[in-house]
Amino acid sequence: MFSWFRSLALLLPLSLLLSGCGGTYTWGWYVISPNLEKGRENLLFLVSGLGHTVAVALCAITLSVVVGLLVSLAVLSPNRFLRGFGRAYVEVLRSVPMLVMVLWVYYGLPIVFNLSPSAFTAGVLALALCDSAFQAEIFRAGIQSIDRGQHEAADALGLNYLDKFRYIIMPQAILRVLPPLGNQFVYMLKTSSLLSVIGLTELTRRANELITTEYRPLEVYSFLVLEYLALILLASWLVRRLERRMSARDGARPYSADAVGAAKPA
Amino acid sequence: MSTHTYEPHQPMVELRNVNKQFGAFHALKDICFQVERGEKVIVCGPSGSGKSTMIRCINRLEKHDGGQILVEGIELNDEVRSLAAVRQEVGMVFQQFNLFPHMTVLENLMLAPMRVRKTSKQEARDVAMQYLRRVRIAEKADRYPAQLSGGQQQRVAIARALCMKPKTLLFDEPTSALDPEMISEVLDVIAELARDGMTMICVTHEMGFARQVADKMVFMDHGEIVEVAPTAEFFAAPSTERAKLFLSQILSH
Amino acid sequence: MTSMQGATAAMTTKRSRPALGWLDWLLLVMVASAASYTVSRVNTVLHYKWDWGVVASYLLKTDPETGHWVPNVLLEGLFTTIRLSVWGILLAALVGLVMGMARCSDRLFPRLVSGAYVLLVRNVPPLVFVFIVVFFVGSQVLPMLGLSSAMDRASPTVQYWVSIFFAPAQQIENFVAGLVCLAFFTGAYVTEIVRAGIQSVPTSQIEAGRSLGLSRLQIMRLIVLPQALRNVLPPLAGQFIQMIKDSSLVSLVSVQELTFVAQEIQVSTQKVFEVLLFAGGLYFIICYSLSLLFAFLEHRS
Repeated sequence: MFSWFRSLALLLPLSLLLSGCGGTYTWGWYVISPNLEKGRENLLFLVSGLGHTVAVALCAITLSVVVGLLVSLAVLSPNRFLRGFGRAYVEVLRSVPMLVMVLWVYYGLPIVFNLSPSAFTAGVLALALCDSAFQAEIFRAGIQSIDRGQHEAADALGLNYLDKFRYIIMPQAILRVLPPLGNQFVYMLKTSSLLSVIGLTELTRRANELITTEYRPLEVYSFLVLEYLALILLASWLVRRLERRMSARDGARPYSADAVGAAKPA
Repeated sequence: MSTHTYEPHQPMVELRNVNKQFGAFHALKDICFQVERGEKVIVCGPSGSGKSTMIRCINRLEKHDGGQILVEGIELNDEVRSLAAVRQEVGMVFQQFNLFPHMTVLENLMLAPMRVRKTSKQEARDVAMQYLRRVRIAEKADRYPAQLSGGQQQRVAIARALCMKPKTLLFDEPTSALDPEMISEVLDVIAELARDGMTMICVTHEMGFARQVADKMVFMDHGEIVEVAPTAEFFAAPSTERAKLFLSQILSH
Repeated sequence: MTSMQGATAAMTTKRSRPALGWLDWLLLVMVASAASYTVSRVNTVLHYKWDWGVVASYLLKTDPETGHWVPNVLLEGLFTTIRLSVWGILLAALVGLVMGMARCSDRLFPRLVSGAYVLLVRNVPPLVFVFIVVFFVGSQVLPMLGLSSAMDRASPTVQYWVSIFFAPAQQIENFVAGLVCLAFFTGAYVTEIVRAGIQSVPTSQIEAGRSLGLSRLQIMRLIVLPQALRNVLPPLAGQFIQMIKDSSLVSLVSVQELTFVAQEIQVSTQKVFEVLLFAGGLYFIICYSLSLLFAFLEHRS
């Protein structure tokens, strides 16, 4: 955390220095100056996108965890058809760009299902669809990282398949899955900026809207960066704190929680 | 299930011409042997001889490719019900203990009786405590496995297997993962069980222990049973050259 | 027992699977019903008329002057995506390598600069990064460098080769701005991968190099990097595939790559499905073949 602050302290003067090199640009910080009536209004307008950014990320991660868990179970299933379906789902959705998915859901759904989702619904669906492929991989890695001896011990005791998963495999897998899941949530917060394209009034959309009225892209975008930096650093701090609390509670256990930490949005 | 009859001299465990291959590697070749009720059998042999594979086939942690394996007359095959029946009768103790790290010692012991045998919680707890006392580790009931030493963990693993009240216990090198000073505490517990009449099949390199508890020695090499002999006979005068060589190597240190 | 267990472990990695449980049936039913619902909506309820001819006509066209087949906008968009990807991967690898080495430096200044770079990029949405770089580099720096006017003055041969390797003269500024964003965005992630790779090489290796009298640069080049490369290949592959997907973002700042073109066609023809499915399919082919390539490389090394 401390080195971050040092980096930031270096970063800000550096960026100002660089921007000065542009030469032709004259700054107009008045647009977001808290000392002016108009500036305060603009600031509030920019920050008002925060609700949608956070809400869309929360809804999407919830949905994608559920779908991802089901898909991971399909990938690990004894049935060949389900396994094939699961692999195909993961491979295809992993390689479709999020932006294409957003456009597809927003413009495609009205045609197929004859329902026109709001930008929020479409956004949640698109983010969740793309992310579920990564969640599936995270769950699969978590489940497979459980030592073979645990399966054998459960089998030798006569536990059936479902009991083995419920009492032995899943409780251990969940702990290993939590850290990458937290990272995935932070990733969602970032990716939700794409939904500005379909008009969801989140942080990025608000910034773009203000730019069209005030013609001050660099100032507004600089503020936008600060907003995201604050939001995302806060979120990742919370995620890490949660992680540490979980691992403190399970300090007695002989495995580290970041065993599958490598699983991430490729 | 029609084969499930109780003849007076039915062996507890019987292997008939069991074969097992891992790809091109022939791990078990025509294994035949029987274990009678209450008998203690020690399986020994050099590394890679197929001892562990054989013992793991007996409760189907590995599937055999050919031949028959019968446990109390029940044949092990793809049928789920017979497998479940066999696994309730056969307990297993692993080299790496394989305790469930997210459960306390007591929870480890109570899980299978409650989920598989459907006993009440109270009864499961009573039985668990009884066996924990028997392996002399009752005071650690509420600890997590990682808080115990290797020897203690293995004793808990033995108690966990006993809680299912199995008729036969399989030991897959129970002391190989232990520090030397902990080996005896585990072997003492196993020897005590042996004296109480439990049927046992144990893979081990501890020849002193074998001499003390075994009724019968099985010597394996390259996936075959080379020699089966009563314990005293085996140690006094092994009948095959390979067994002689093995014994001279393992007893020389 | 070790060799035996090695064999056992190797042979039984594919754990024997139990018979179908109720969970599998549940999943099967869910998959089947979702698929059939979608198909029935598309086919019976809405009578959506598939028209893949639209896609084909935007792929190729006949040149009115010569009568030859030439690539139309969709194929041009695909080529632009591929150009962006290839140059982007090279540039990002370069940025990542330099910054990753700076991150492991003994001196404070390089560590701070690369640390700040990684911190900034990794905690800002890709899209916002694209906007900023394009507004700054695209509208401030590039005109100052006079790239566009230099292109106008260049000879037709130069223009031809530049349009093959980069972009046509009138789009060059946009292309370069988009490329810079992608490279610097991905570069931050590559930096972290390179750092992890360098740190994965044990210190004893560096000490051994030092004791042989090699210079710091020689140790890096001859001892550390070759060993680190093997460790970083898998995450690097993932990152580059991610970059190809991220390249769709620069469509929002008018770089005429696949997503940009697909969206234009979709708007003008209203054929949402055909066009976007096709574009998605193309991304899948590019990404999947790259992951196969990396799997092959990994297998060989």
